[in-house]
Amino acid sequence: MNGRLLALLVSLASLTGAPAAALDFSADERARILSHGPWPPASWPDASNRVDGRPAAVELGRRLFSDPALSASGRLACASCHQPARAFTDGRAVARGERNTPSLLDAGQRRWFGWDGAHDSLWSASLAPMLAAHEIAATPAALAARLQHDRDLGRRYRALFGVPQGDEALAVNLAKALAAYQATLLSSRSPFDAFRDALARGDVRTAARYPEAAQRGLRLFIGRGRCSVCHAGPLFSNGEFADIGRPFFVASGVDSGRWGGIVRLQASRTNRLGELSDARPGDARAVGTRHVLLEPRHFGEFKVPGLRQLVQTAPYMHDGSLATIEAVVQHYSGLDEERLHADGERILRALNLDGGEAADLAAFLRSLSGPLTVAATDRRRRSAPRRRRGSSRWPRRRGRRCGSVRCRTAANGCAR
Amino acid sequence: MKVLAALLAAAALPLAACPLPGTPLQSGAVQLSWAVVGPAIAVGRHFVLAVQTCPADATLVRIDATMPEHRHGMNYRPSLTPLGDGQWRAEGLMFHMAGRWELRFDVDSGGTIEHLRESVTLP
Repeated sequence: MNGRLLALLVSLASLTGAPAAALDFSADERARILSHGPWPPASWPDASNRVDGRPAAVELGRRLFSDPALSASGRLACASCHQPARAFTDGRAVARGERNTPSLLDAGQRRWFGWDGAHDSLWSASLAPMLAAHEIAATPAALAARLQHDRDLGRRYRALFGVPQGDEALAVNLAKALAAYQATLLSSRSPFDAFRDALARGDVRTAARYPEAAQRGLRLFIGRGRCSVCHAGPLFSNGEFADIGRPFFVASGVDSGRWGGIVRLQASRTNRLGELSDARPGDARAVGTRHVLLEPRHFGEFKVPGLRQLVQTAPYMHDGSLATIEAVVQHYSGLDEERLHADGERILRALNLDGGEAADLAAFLRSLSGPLTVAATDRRRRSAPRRRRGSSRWPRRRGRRCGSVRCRTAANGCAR
Repeated sequence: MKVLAALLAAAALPLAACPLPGTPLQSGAVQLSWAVVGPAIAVGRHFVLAVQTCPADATLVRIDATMPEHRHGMNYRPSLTPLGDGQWRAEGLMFHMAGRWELRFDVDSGGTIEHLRESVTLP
């Protein structure tokens, strides 16, 4: 459907009493809008984790995720910082390190993990905080003791992995169960998704229900604002890293960001190319690790975050230094171009938004958040067939609500 | 005799591929054509290229890509695998931003490095 036809239909809809508030997006604009969907996305199996997608692993991981007894203090669980009721964030500027706690929603769709991308798999990213002295601070021996003490956990572990073959292997296996659980966490569908899908099928009436302010903000996002240059695709992230002019000075000196992340990734025994990966040589998801390039420009770059569930994941930026969506918009509106372009790159420009435009852009960003219902489903079960490329058909949602969290694990238990 | 004929035919294959059909890139005496293997190029997704050089005994030394307007390149260094007869497979490429990218192929032919370029724009 071309833009003129859509505009005509909007006009006709107004004569028939239907809401008529869909902007006349051009064909180019519509193509850009459609590129941000559909949602939810197809699953992305992880061959480096042999229990990925297995219901028993999801359930074990779910239990481990909320178990403070894994920690050295006995008081800290993964869920202490990645709180399900806060979209798996903690609401703090920085948590137990010097960076903001990222949401785990849609983690199964990511290529790199952590603000610096020091990990290339969910299980590697789960193992690190489990053993880090300033986080869970467990040791492999303590984790083994925990499984011996808790018969239920021990039984579930053995059913999945067999008899433990050493404490280190046990720790890695626990991280893989945690990853299997986290891979089921998905952002819910948002008002934007309803608009985007309506646009795709030419459903003017539904499209017109999307607030005009959000539509104007969307036009800015994909147009003059050039936000979608990096915040691309259904995740609203290209999965890579950028320097957007936020400070990288921290109490301990300088946060090297992506540069340090690549150094750690390449030195890690737990990357996808290492012996702890379950994938065969040539793993397609390891292509990034095999080819990643370390260059000085990566210093001070941080991951381009996805924008879904943005409303529930404040504060923003790698250091949590911006408290509101409006503050984020103002940051981009008044960018310090001299600081950004000191190394020769010319990607970002100050948007210089007026008040109305800033409000529109914020309205659009807010529309990327659905209700906080975590679709914690095992999407690779036979009962939920994998989506075919280009298909918009999805299995219907099932499951019961557990407080503010929709749970669709194999056991249909609460995700918190 | 049949074996000798087969060897001669095999040796002649690369030369028989020249000039390349269609509208290949050209620099000096080198021609090159390329195609995406698998899904079309999309922002933030790794992709694979199939490359054909002419003459077939030329060596594809390097593939790189930059965004001239942004003054930066890719975040990945592609790997090149020779498949014989002037055919190459390039893996590990990614265009991580929308906009105009300039693909560059460096080809060594007889000791001379030719640079062949083509613009690709991602919406």
